[in-house]
Amino acid sequence: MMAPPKVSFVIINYNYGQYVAQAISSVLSQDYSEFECVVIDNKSTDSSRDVIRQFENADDRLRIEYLDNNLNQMGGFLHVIDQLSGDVVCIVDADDFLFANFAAFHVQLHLDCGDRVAATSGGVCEVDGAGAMLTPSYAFFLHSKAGTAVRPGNIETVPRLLSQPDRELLWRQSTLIAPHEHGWHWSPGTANMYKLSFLKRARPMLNVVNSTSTDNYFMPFLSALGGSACIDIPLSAYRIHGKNRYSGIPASLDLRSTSKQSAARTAADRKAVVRTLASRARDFVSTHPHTFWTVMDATPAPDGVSRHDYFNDSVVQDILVEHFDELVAACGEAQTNSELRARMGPKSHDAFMAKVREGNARGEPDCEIRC
Amino acid sequence: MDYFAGGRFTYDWTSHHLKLWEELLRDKIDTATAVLEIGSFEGRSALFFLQFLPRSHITCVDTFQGSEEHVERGSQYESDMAEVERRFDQNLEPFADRVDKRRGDSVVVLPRLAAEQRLYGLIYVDGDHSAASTYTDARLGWDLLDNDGVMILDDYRWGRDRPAAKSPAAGMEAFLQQIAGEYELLHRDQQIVIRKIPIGETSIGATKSFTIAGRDIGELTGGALSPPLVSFVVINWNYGRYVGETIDSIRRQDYPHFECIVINNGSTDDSAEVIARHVDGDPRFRVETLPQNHGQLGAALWSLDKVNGGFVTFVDADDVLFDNYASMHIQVHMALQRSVGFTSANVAEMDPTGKALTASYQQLRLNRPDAQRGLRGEQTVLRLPTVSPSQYRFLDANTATIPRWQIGWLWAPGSANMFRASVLRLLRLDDGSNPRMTSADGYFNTICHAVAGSALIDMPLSGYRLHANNYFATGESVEGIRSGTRDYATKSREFTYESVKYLIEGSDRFDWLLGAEFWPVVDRVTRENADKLRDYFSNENAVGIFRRNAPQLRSVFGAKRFAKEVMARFSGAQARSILRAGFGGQIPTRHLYKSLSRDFRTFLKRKRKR
Repeated sequence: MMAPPKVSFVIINYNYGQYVAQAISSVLSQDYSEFECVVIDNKSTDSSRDVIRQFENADDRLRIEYLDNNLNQMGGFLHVIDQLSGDVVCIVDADDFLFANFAAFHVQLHLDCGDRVAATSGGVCEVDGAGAMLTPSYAFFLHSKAGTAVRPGNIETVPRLLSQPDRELLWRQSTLIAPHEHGWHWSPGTANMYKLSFLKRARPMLNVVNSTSTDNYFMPFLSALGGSACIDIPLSAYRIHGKNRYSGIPASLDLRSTSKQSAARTAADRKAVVRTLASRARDFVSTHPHTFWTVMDATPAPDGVSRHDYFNDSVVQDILVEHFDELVAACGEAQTNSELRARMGPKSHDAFMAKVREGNARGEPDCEIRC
Repeated sequence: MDYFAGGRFTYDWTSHHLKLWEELLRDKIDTATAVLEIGSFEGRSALFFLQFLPRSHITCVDTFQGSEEHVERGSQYESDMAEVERRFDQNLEPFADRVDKRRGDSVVVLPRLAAEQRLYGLIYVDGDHSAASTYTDARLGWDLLDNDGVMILDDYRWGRDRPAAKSPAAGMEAFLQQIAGEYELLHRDQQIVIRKIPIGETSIGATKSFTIAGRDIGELTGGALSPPLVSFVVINWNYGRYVGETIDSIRRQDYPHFECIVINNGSTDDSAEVIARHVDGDPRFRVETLPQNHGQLGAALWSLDKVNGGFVTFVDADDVLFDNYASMHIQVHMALQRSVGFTSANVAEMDPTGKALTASYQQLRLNRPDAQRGLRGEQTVLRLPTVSPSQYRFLDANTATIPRWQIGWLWAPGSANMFRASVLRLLRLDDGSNPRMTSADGYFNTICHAVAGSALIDMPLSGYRLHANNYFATGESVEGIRSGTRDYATKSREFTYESVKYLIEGSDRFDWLLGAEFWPVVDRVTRENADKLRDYFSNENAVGIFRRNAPQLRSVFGAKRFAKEVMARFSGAQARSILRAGFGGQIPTRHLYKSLSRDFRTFLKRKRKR
């Protein structure tokens, strides 16, 4: 039997001095003990550092990093990704907290589903600033029609972390999302647990990510690469407070719960997925020779944007122009062109190709001189 | 001791149980136990209870029509039932002052006893022997059994040679399965004897504390997570004679996590004194005094800055809440398949003295198109210790989520509703600094449902007092449910224009929040059916609202959509006056043409009809 997997919790805090202690305590109180925890403070200007300092010698499994600049959530995570020693990773928002059974349920599902999932997503209680419950669970995946029932594989060979009734509850409440099932099926942020190997492959280049939040980037990307599973049991709390939620509306009411601006920003930030795929196309095609372009299509789905509109978006086209040579190197010229043509439509593909040629011309001044 | 000396009997199905009963009931000898017997026949067992428990009283329920086996020709138990009843009366004559004989079908009598709020320390189920009747008697009896009370189910092994449906065993097993976790088994042989475990002590299924997936939430989260906070807002105007009882009923809530704001809404009677006396320094209560009557809606709007809870109930000062009001509403809010703007439970009507008129439970209609029945699985929600597993199953069977596109009045009135505070704030008409002499439910129920949906709980959780002053005293009654006055109906219809105005004025925000739902929501808050909408909007009030906000509507929705939505609701000169306002004086030819040709087509259609 294999050894129990190790979990890496990464708590990223910026000015949540009020809440961060609860986040850290909730990790240290996990039923499942095989974990490390890295706390990153993104140069907070409130009481955060004083709060975090109190945990400095609290637990051998805890490590704290005080950053000199605010790298945002993704930046903070990429800062430590290479130091992580876990098999699976949970990125904890400092204003959320986990239930004690969080890791055990997630890890058990990773074990029981084996290589059918790159990430798992759990149910979330929405709570107010004081921790009083507002909703039993987050809405998205409860209502999505995607997914199939979990049928555990050969469970004799994997460690058992849960009691038999809990394990059966876990199976009953979980659904598998296949890689090609695009859309948004998951809970936000803290509720997710990713396989570290997939995070490393999918990691974006630090200089292009800006304010991208880790779940918006990684969750649709990892699911498209390796599938995911959702656990419809509340395993963590998501705090609704003035700073993170438009109008204080819980997400489970089917009303828009983010502002227009932040929804637009989320969609724009997610284009980083296209950049990662295009710029490292050969690497991804080596593992996904038949589905590389399907993975590409996963990015617009969570925002309800059609494939056609997405590949005609000027930012996306600029990314594709920039990495056109890499795409051709990975897929060959014929396939690249036919795939892009199918997505853009013939007319705009012609215009796109003109941009590619123009880009090449501008990008290679030496050639002109030589010729 | 011979319990049956001098009695007249034909059968003895009792004596061989006495040893067991004496043993089980010994500790009740000195207490004034209330006994309920379902199926008395000639009164033999009743005689035992009355004599073995000398301070007891007994309620005997029997049809005295006999069961199948008594009236079947040639059956070994065939009896003359009129004779049986006479013997019962004679046998119990010496104890007449301790016997309450209820002649009738147990399915009729037992709910009546529940309505009389009776509780029993001992229940003996020995009625009709079919599986269905046994189940029903036991199930209805269980709700009449006090904590720690004992229930004896007779004839578990009777009729084994008969079809399962015609013998008691299957009914008893189904019953026991349903109350799993709520009872302790004391004996199982010819009879099954169980004890009711008080809620909060049960070990399997039910728990002492709030749990998620079977784990105590305090232990699960190190105290970081707490159950929802409920805010009661009692709005009182000159109900000094009732408000004390209302406050008492809130103080008695079995749900521990609540606050209560009592608003004395410009009362001129003795309310202030009554409120102070009944609040009696309870730290969960705050009293606020408004110098003049803001109306119920005005006071409700005003209170929204003051409430801390995630859930809010506006309590009419002449209603009372049942002890489990908050528990049941919160359990449903925490367990619905999808969250809603508010939950609405049934009400029991009361006369002015507070006596329940139980026959007139308001019937909420759960069977509606697209209503989604049921709750999430118990293991995946916050479970309240005050809601037993069987009560949870009851809620599961008697709750329906109503989709937001259903229009009309679907709910129970006033105090019967528990809202999400976030939704109330989202739809807060104004800050309540000005009086709004109308009902809070009339405004909030309709608009909260149109925006966020609602759920109905078919279980009475509060008492609605019927008295002469309902309408005049508060300026509000309940439209659609009880026959309000004509005057009231007009007033409440007029108030829907306030909702339309609120949405139209906030079109920028609501368009984003509601997405494609914005215009359907505007239509829904009118409470009119689709074919009546044009009439509704032709009111000068509506035209004014649209005209004043036309420039904003045009900028939010763009010229084309703006013109389309206006023409979908208005005709002729009214439509063009709104379009003109939206386009800064000059309607673009395209839209002008569309509007005129639409009018022309309508004109032709009318002419043809004539």
